[in-house]
Amino acid sequence: MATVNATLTMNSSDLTSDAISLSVLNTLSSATQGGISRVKLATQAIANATVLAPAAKFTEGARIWLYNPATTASAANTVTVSLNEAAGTIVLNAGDWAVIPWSASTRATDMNLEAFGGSADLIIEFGVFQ
Amino acid sequence: MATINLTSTLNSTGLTSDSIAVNVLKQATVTTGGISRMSTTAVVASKAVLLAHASYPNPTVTSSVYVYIKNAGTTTIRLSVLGNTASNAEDEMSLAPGVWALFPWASGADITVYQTAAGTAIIEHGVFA
Repeated sequence: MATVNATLTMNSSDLTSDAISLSVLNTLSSATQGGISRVKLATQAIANATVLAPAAKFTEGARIWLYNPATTASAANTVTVSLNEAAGTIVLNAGDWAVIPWSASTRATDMNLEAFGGSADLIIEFGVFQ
Repeated sequence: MATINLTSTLNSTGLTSDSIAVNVLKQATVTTGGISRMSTTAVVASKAVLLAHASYPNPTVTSSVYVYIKNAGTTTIRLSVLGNTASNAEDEMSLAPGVWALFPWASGADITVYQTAAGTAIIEHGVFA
């Protein structure tokens, strides 16, 4: 059993008259699954997209971490992530990251975590923790 | 134009033989956004629209639409980024009390929400684009 700490720090001094400065910590206790990996994405469309995590192995509360390590913004460097094996619901441009508390198999219909790239062999870095 | 800094930090010792220590900064240029709270009594049979996609731009390859959501209440909330309003548990995200999410939104459909037990959910959110 292990603990995983996920923190978001958000700052902006010039977006609103009241500067934004927040830090929120989530602690996932008793984690037994997870790790950080990079994979090449197999497709450029949702058909036969790369399965990053099968829903059946996780339940409500699993934490998804996603990162597009590309450094140049372009359509070719965009990663699309699907939470329903169909529509792309999360679009990671170069350098974007995401943290998503996943419904996984608690959802009425199991839907895997899948991703595809804007070009061949695009890389995504990810982890799913529970 | 304004700048927003979004930093993700992940730490864990003991989960894998190699300790996890991730720190990723995304610095984005945005023109709209802010942090707000709303409340809802929505349950599975009466889902509420948390974010209406028509009110926000679509992302481009150089400008993402970042969504921040935190469950500031005491009951688990479930979200559908596909805009599901049917009376079923076809939701993609689940936020226990205190849990937050941040993701670049495709903004092609509404984000709908409901709580897993009757009451009043408090949701903190922001959309930055």
